[in-house]
Amino acid sequence: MELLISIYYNFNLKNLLLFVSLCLCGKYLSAQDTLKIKEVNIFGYKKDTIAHNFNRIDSVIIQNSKFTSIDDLLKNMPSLSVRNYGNGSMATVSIRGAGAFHTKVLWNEMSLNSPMSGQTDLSQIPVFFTDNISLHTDGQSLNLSEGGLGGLISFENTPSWENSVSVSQEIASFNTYGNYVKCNLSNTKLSEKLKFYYKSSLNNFTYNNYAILPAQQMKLQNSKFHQIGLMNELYYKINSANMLSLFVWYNSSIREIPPIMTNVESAKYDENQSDNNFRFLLNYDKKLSKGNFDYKIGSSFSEIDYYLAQNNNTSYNTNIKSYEIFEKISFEYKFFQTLNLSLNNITNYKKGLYTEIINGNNFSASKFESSVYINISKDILKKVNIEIATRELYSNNYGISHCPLVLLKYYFNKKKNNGLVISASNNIKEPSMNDMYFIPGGNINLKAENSKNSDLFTFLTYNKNNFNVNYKIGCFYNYIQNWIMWKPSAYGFWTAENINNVVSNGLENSLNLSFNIKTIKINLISNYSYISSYSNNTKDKNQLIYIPKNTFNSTLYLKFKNFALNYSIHSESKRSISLSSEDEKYLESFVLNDFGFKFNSKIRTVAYEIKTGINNLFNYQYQLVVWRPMSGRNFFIILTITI
Amino acid sequence: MIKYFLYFLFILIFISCKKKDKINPISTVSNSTGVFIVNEGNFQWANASLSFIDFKDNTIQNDLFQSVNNAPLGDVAQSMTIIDSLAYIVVNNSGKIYIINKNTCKYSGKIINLTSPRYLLKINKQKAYLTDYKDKRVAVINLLSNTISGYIDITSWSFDNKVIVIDSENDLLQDSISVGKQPNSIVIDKDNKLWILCDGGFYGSSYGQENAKLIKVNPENYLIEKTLIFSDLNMSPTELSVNKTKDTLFYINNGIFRQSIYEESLNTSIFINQDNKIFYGLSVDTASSKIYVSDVVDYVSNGNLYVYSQSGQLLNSYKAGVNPGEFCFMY
Repeated sequence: MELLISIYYNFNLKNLLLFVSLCLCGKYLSAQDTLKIKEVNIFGYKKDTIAHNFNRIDSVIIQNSKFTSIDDLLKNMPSLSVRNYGNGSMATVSIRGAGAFHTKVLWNEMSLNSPMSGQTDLSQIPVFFTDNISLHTDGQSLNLSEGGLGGLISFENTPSWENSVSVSQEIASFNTYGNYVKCNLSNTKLSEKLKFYYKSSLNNFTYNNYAILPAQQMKLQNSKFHQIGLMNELYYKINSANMLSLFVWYNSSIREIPPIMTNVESAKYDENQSDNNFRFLLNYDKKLSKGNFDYKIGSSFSEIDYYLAQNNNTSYNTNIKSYEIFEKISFEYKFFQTLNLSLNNITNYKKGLYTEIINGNNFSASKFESSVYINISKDILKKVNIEIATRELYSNNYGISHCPLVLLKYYFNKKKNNGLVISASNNIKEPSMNDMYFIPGGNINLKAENSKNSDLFTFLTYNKNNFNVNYKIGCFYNYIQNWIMWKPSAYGFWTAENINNVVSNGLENSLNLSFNIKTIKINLISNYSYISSYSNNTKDKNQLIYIPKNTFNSTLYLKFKNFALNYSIHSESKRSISLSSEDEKYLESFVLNDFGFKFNSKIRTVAYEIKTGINNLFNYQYQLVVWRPMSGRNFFIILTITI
Repeated sequence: MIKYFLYFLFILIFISCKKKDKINPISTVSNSTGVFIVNEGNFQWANASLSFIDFKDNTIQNDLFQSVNNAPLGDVAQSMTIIDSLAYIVVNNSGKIYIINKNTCKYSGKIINLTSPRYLLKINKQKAYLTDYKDKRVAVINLLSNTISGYIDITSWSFDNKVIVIDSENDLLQDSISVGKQPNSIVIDKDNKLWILCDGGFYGSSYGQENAKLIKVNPENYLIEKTLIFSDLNMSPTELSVNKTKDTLFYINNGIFRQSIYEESLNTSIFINQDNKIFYGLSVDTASSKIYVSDVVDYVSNGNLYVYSQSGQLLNSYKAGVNPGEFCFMY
């Protein structure tokens, strides 16, 4: 009902016109025949997949969440803890009990981590803009980059050699509207993929505020957001072995930042942030008969404006700009049947500028870093493979650092890709520019954080007829030294210090089961993880803040003819919010239930899809960040037309 | 199929059930004499709390506000002022003042729509003044209606070097006295002279940094009579307090220092050593002359409280909340 009222009163004309015009455009385009391309032979060598397969997020999950932001999708992954300040607000993710700044995020292998804060705001990355998402939690992430002490998330774009235009319109609770357009144009040589989206929301959901006296039900204040993004991917196939790609990505958002629940009664409040990001990347890829050569060069520019005013008095107004130039050369070669060599070199130049407009505090900093990765992989026995690798990093601030990796694989059954993997590695993360130079509180004497990671997991698959099972169970032990924390100081401001050594260990379970019952296709994807993460410097070994010990999520997909259903459960055990080891304060555990329904149809060459659903079905009141309420039960409907 | 679906639904409903929150037993201060401790908590964590040391049995009760009212105190509790039977707790980043009964700690009202309030000073039965970190005005609070009845415009701001003089009859700015950078505390001695402690600012501040100063001012003519300059630029003294006889000053400067109001130079010998503690709040009980000092440990753990005699002998110690900053004595 809430949704219907919302549609009736708030469906704005702009959205309607855009949608209708795109539908008409679609009708025109539908008159053209789909361009059929010739069969293409792609040659190259087959990569070993045992340790890679489980890193990739299932395409069913990506497809099902394509109109959400990445943080919403990642909450369904094992060993991940999403720290979300609310819809459209800052969202970060910590992996395996490490901090959010220990999560490295890459887009087509180029870093998305801010050189200033060291973090990535995942709310700014729509799933719509990605084709593949992979999560790397073991030492093999060193192949892509150093710095992911907890883990690494990689987003990739892939070419689509087809011609289609797809238009989607989303309407959801709390006056949320989204427009998504995807256009693929291609011939045998060239493929162009253009994606555009615009999303806005008042995000003014109702919640019970028990953090004020007297407690009352109220609407979230100062919480609306607008996001707009454009991505263009151009692929040029020089010949069957050589391809040139160009990616351009622009993203912009304006969002209000709501006060925490205890602060809703302060004076007239205006806190907002605008983000602008521009990135481009050029990629040359050459397939060799026994390997691969890849060259990437790219650049990014990011600007954040933060503004806080109360009673029309501007208290803070900061502007943060950062620039980055990136280059990567990769070479992989299979010398013999049993010996692989992988080499890559990554070079980055980063520059940041922070300006506090009211108080005049500002700083600028730059950083150069270059690293070389070398990996030799050899089958030493019929069923045993060993990988030895290292990433050698040089930066102008910290000189040379070493990140070695040793990995051993034992195959139970090589054909079925069943086996056991054990690995040990070292990783390093240098302090961000804020950590070092922020005024006040930056500390140029900080040591780089380093982690020792070890991993053991087994991977089992079973495929028979239409019954497929993929199961992974494993455990890990990470030890992070010189953890950087911002702490209040005697001078009345916060300072960055290396204060902690953190131990994090745990157990991970993943199951992907698919089978058919008559004409019904069933797919169940479940993950469970147990993580113990504590500071080694305290006696009590209390769990680190915001890290749940137990996380369980499960999604059931049913597909019958043109109908599809999905039902998801996501639950996290209580999370500590006590900065003090003597206090026992927690955010309560929660269980979220989401339900979705999809219907597909095709009329001539036009495909229609209607997707609708309910998130947080049982209207659970919960928080992911202390005193930041999350929305209760909410509804959405998305109509997509593809030509 | 339907049967399995119903089982599945039942399990879902079952696991979605939620336990009711336990309600803590209610604590009260009753008619005791003692001292309230305002624990600031951490910025944006809303973990401020209120503690009370009962002078009868020298015991402490922590988290009083939460346990009595079943709600958090708020985000960064700055100070507390007792006016008659009510206690006013200024919660800085929550932009409000909670009013509680000083004997039961029970919620009695609130003053809201404030920007960044810090200290409340009673002027008379109907009126109090409220300073604000982000507002260049002093708010005039009507204590009968718990509302802001007006503002006194002042030109000074957090990063400044002024002591402001206000005509409290007419709520008007009367004058200002230039002292050192960032005056942070003020007391009056037995000769009715003002002592002002200025921390000098911090490294990298766009407002600049200078050596901290302890300044004596004659409130009759606003003239500076004495300026004592701290020798090291990195010294950042805070929490100026005066003893019962108002002839000795105390302050924190990586340890507690004692200074006679008649000395012509700064006493450089430390009175109470900080050792591995971080002293943060300091107050002298003007009834007993005992010195109350808080240790914030690491600014995120629960802090400690230490009670010293006037000669610097440790009498008692307690565990309080996070970042205990202010003491408010109740008699």
